[in-house]
Amino acid sequence: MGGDTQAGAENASEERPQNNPLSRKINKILETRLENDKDTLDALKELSTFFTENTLRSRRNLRGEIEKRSVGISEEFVTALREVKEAVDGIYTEVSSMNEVCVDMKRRLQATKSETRHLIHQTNSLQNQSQKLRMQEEVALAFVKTFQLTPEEVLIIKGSSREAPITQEFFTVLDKTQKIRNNTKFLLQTGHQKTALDVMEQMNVCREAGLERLYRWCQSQCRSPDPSPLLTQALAALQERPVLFNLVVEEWVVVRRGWLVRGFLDALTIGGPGGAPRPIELQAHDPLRYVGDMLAWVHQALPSEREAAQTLFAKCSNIDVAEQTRSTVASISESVCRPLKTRIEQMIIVSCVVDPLVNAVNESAAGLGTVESAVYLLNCFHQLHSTLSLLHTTGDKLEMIQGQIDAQLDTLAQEQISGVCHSVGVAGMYPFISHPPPTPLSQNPACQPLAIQSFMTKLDGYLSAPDHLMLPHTRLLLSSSFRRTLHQRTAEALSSIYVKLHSLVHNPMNGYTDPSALLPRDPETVKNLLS
Amino acid sequence: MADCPHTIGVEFGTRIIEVAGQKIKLQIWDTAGQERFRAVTRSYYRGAAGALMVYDITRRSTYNHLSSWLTDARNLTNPNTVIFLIGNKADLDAQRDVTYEEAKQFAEENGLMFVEASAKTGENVEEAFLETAKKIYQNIQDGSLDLNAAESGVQHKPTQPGRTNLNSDSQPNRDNCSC
Repeated sequence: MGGDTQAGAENASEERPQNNPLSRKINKILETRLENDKDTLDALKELSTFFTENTLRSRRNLRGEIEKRSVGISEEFVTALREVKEAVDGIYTEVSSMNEVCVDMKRRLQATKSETRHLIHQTNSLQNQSQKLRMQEEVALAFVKTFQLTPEEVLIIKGSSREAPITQEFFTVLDKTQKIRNNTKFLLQTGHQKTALDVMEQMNVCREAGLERLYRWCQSQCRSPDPSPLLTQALAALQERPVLFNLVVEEWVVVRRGWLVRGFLDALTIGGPGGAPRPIELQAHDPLRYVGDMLAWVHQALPSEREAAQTLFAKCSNIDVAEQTRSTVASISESVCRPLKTRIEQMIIVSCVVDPLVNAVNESAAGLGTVESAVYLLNCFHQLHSTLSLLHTTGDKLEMIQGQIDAQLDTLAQEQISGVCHSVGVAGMYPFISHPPPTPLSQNPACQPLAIQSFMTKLDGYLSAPDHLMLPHTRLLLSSSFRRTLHQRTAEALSSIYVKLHSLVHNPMNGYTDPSALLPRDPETVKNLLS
Repeated sequence: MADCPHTIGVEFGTRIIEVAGQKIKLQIWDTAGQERFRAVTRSYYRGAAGALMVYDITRRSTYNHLSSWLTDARNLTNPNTVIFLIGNKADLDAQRDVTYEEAKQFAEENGLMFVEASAKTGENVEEAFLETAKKIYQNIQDGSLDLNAAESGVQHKPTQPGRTNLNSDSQPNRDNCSC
């Protein structure tokens, strides 16, 4: 067939121009290189398998055959496509159901989320509350720590039992109660009146119990021969309760009085271990030794007492420690006074002491001047006399001392009178007054009217201020009666001189021209003025 | 020594020393050596836990008096009283009148502790008191000195346990300058 078409086209090209569509189409077909068209080749190759024989019938049936085959292929395609469709449908169903699940899940998540929001809100508010509470707890704890005692501390203060000992912790807690009491002022300042008062009340109750217990402990410690070192601190703490403080001091004094007096009596009657040193009373036959031993014992016992008392009061700040120590030691040592006194009284008081004492006093006065010595001796004898006069059965000794006193008073009076006589200018006249010479007195140089006038002036001065002319030493006399006696004697002496002089001057024999002008005063007046 | 005042009657002082870790307070009763005070001073022997007897190495007369002092000390104290003999003025060796050996022998014969000291330089003064206290402490430790007995001269110090109170009777013979 191809040979035909080619031949026809060659013919046409020879006859007709090239622009003929048909020829163009034929040319195109002719120019087609079939061997290069793979699709056509494949299609032709496929076609060639349709028939084994190139027959007419075959050629007639070609189209039908092709169509038949095309239908067959289409049917196959349809079948295959149906399967695909079904598979896609299956996938679709599953994706749909998956979608549903997802939507459901999403819905649920949404629900959960909204529910959770509420929870979170709640949780937050709870957290805030909890924080607030925690803060309150901290404040409460801080309050308790600052203003309250722990149960252990209360136990320490109040004691687990009556006999529980006082420890160092006790004082720490006691201090704490005081600190809390001081701190309540902050509560008052911040307006917590009721709390402050409550805390104050609690602390007061606690301290009261503590101090009461401390007091009982101190009482028992006072009785111990080996008291706790805390006693010093205890006394310092008890200062705020003067009643308790004084009771403890009293107990201390009572107990130590007992010890001191027992020790003293032991030394007197028992002596040391195994009798050495020997008991003091064995020396009773020798008064000096006996009394000396007793006094030495007391002397040696007192430093220890003083030291113990000093230690006891060492930490007290509200009292005068020195004074408190002094009075405490004095009260303790007073206990040995009675046994000491009775023994000394039995032994000596008077001849053993007085005679040597009088001798010693006289000896010691030996180096002094007349006036000084008289004043010194009068003072000594005055003391001795007043001491002895308190005792009975000392009559003769008193008499002896009185004699000494009188003698010294005489001496002193003589000195005093002569001194005054010198001062008022009568000393020079005195010999002529007492023993008037046979010649008229007015002619005696010592007794000239001028001298008498001067005497009168000085006497007036003396009368107005008698003390002025007294010897300065006499002011040192302890006894006012001695001073009075001296005054009296001086006055008497002066008065008697005046009486004599007055009568002499008024005697015309002595040749004084105007006696009343020289000695204007009546002797009685002078006497009255002097006394 | 000439400028050192004599003791009048009895003088008192205290001193804290340490023996074997224990604080011991010595009460020192310094008694006059002169004869005229003897009536007073001999009353102070009793109740002494120890006595320091002091003579002057430059004056034999003070040494010669020792036996009479010792008699007093023995008669008037308790048997446990520690007696310490001290030769004072050891600094004046050139003027020495009593040899060390002689005094040492005297001390040994009479069971006394002995040392030469100088109050002027302080040599051996502290030691004398320390040794006396040690000996007394020893006597307490070995039980020969009973603290509970009357007039032992030693007492636990009240309100301060662990301290012992020694009553040491310093008894200087003449020219006393013992601390």
